[in-house]
Amino acid sequence: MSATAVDVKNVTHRYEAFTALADVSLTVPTGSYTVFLGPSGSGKTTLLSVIGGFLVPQAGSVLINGADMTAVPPAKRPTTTVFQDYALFPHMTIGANVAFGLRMRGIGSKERMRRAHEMLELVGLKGSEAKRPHELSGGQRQRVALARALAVEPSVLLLDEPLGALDLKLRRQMQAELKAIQREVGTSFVHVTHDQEEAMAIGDTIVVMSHGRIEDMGTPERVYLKPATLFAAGFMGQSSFLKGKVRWRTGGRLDIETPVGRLPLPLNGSGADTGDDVVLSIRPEHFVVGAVEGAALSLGSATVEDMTFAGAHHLAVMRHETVDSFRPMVQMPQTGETTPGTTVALGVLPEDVVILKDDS
Amino acid sequence: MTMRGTSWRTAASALYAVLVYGFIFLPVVVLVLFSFQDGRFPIPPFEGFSLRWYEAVLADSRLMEALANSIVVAVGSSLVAVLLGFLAAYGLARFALPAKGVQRALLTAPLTVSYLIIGMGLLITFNFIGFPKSLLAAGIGHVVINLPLCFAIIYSQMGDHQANIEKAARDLGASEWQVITLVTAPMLWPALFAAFFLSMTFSWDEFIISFLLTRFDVTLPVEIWSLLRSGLNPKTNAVGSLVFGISAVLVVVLELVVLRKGRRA
Repeated sequence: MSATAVDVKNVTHRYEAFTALADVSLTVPTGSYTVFLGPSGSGKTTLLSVIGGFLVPQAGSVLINGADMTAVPPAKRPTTTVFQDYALFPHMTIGANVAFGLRMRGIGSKERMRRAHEMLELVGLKGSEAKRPHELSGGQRQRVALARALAVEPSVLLLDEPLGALDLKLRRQMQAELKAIQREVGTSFVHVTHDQEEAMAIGDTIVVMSHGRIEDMGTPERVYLKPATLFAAGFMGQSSFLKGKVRWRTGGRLDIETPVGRLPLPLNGSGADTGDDVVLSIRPEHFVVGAVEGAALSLGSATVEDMTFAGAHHLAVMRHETVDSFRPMVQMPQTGETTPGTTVALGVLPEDVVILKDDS
Repeated sequence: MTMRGTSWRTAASALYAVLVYGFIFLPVVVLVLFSFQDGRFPIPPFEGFSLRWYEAVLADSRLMEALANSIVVAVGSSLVAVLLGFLAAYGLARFALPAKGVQRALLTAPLTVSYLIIGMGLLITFNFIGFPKSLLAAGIGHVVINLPLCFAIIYSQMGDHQANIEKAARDLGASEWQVITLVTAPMLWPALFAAFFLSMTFSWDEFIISFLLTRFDVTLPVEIWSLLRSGLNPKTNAVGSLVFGISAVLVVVLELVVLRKGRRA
């Protein structure tokens, strides 16, 4: 088995005037859980269709296990798909649904029923072989769709917003189970979602997409803490943005002019150079509130406009004292005296600031 | 005052209902009633109950032969109409075809053409190509009238959700033929069944096309028409009652099997 399960090379696809995929390239390592994350219209589902064989791209190629599959129909690919609406066969029993792919491969009925039984056990639906899809709940149908797709032992399992139709609690539970099942069977999973929490919880690799392009690709930690683009920073979790201009760059340090003052910052992995327009991105939990001391840089002070309770903490939306365009979103303690109207000093540790190219 | 007004209105409504149902069903009731006439004429007064005319029908080899012909034509033409209607619906619902709307309109258009015109058209065409008048010719005529109906019923039941289910089957390795036989047709089973039984009832009752397109072997309605030419007698009532009874059974089966099932699902 090759180390790369899926290799997408320079794939472009347009629907009339709309560019669904613009020169997309990426690799999916064998045995990993990859998540395509993006808003609707970002091209993530189109990319999944290209990998699954439901769509032949206008340009570029798709290799699966090293073999060119660009124009090979879905039936002949080592991939299977879990569809958003599950697409179970309503006239067949659960057992026959799960065994369908094996039947198409000419495997005898005894063997396929044994395998179907195993698969249903894997997804926690032992003993439901004789039931019909309409007798099951949404979550159970989801599991059947998963068992059916895994029964033929694909090299790559494609999941198209598989948890979209489930309620929040069930969705969080299924995320954990999907991850556990992926670990157990070792198949490469490619999962499409627009839910960034789901993506972070489940993916080994997150691919952030927007307007048919890949904005960022990496581990959830990396994409969250050091997003590569403004879009990735805004889509993955919450961030406050502050525009600035690099006055000069010397060695590993930048001196950035911002509306709240000059900030001396380390590069933090950024490629910004003297004269560049940049956007500084700060996560809510990275603000230092109150006593700004030690290594922390002062960002001036701001007034709390609104507080939202998020269980483990509060989230405050603030108005900066001097800069109207800067509206910090700051994580505050679970309990405390801060109420709307309070003015606090804000700061941030230099290494927590993400410096992004201003492409707006 | 209001009480009297209400009861008066109720009585008027009831009378109206009786008249409506009488208008619809009286001819059938009279037909069936006088098929049991113990006498030579199917007209009042009713002279007593007898099954002798039914015995006469069953003993009439020409009528029995026509009955068998009718069954063969109804079953055969309905099977062909359902098969062709299903394939046309599948093609139009699942593939990008040129001028889809026009093709769909062309397929359903014969529904608006009278049977007489269709029968005459077929008669002229068959004459022209030298195709003899026969049960097969009548069967082809019945396919022509029932195909648009089958197409319309089946097409209306083919949705995008089912297209996705077919996509899943292909993804799991099914060939086009396996998709149709193992997934599409079984999913559409109620629609296929409804189309088949409706076609059967239409073919079973159909007279004018069969009349124009058959010669030696005829269907039951054509044979009844020959009987009627020699005058009314309770035997014609008996055979008419049989035709009506079989139609009624087909409709009841359709209701029980298809419509009930649809309601449950």
